[in-house]
Amino acid sequence: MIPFEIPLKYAQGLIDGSLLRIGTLIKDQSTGRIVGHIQETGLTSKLLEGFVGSPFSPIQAISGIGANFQLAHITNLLNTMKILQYANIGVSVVGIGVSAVGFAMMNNKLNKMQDSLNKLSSEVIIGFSELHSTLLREHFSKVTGLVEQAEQAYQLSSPERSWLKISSSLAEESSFFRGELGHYLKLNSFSEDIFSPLLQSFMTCSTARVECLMLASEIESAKDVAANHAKDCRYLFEPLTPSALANQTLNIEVSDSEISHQLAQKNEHFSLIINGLRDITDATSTKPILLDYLIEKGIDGREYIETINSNENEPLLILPVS
Amino acid sequence: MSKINRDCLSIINISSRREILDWRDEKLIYIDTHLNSHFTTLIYKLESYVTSYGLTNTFTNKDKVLAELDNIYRVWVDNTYKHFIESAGKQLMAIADKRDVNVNKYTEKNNFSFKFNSTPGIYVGVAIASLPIAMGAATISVGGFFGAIGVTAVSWPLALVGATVFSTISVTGWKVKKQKKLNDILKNVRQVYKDAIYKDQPNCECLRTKLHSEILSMATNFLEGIDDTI
Repeated sequence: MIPFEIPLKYAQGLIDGSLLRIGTLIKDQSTGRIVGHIQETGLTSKLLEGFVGSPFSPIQAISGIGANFQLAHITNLLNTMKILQYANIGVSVVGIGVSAVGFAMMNNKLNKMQDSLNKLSSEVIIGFSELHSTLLREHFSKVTGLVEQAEQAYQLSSPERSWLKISSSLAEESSFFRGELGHYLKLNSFSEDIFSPLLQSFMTCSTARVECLMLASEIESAKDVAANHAKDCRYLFEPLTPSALANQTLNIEVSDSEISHQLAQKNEHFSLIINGLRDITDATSTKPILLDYLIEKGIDGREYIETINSNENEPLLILPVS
Repeated sequence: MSKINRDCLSIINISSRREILDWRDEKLIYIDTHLNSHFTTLIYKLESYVTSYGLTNTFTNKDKVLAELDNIYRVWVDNTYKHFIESAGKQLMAIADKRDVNVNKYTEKNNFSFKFNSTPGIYVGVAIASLPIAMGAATISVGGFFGAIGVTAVSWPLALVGATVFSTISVTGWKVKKQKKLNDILKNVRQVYKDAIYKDQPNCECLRTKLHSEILSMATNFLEGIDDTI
């Protein structure tokens, strides 16, 4: 049995500053050592599945999600994320700890993204031609198919080989979406409507790869994938600044005073997005440390995934480091 | 290196990267939101000078007027640059110092995770090498400082000097339309300096871009020095 703890145990330390959250781990300020890894559960993804809106919405936005769950669960998630000092829910895009989204839910997410991209392709948006849209749809379909296969593999008598095969196919798709993101971020225009689905697709490929490898009990490989993904995130997102994005999206056909006002608003808006991207980058950077710990403790990847996926009592847990 | 040391170092690296990125983003926004109020001060000084000098004197001594306007601009650039970059540089040094302390406190010696094969102190020097303040700005003359940061004097296009800024004086009956002509001059002065501060030219970056570039390059130098192998 994996000895998870509830985050409340760490709340006082986080409030008084003796503990500090970095990415998805908690460190002791006096010794500099890791005391625990934050881990989302199946409940988190179920709660956030009902959330419609930007992946970079403020934490408070969680309070407005679907009524299918007990208010207590939503309040618990909201409070825990506040205690852990997350500025927005951006980090959920990549998963807090190992992603507990599960393949079936990943597919639901991908379908929603495909719908929003289809809508975009019917509008004229800079950097988003019909040809481009067709290409993206093609790759979306591939990822959706792979994630579906990963879910179906549970029914096989020995699914490990399938998960390994799916993982390498996802590597190709991950590389495609990384290239698309990199290209899009170099254009001199920025639209969250295009950026968000590209980001989520890239993240889905990576989290699904890690999940497949863990299910196949190949945690060493999962750790390497996670470490490379972290490097990709740093390469893609570190150069972005709120100031540059604000200036790219300014409407300059207005008076000087209106520009100043507009700039201030845009800086605030893009600061929230960049903050979310920084949380995502930090979360990806700390994931290999968690996987390393699982290896050290001999925790089986499949057991870990199934334990967090099946937890429906707590949205976030802490894996203490002994 | 032991696993505990490796983990500590990874955490320090992740924290340092985040701190430096947050510092960079905050400074860039600060420049955007505060440069305008500094610019207002400059315009007030330029306008006061032209107004106090008088229309007739401005007309007869335009070279002197232009030189003095540029002098006011140089002093303003010096102060503005120091305001934005010097304080930012100090904050950067504090982040670097904190990193040094953490590395020394939590990891075994000689295991610093810097790409440069050196001690952190030298590494910090590399990060801020682009800063004129690191060259001892306190002793640099106004003109020297101005040159050191790559800001050139505002170039008044000949056509503008002859035709636009001062042409209103020589066209018709300036005594009658004295106030209007003075306003025209002031308007043109404002525009020329506004362009120098906010508008990039093909071969010349404006001051805002230069300030941004300084912050960006300091952050990049720092980030490049941190080993990104987690």
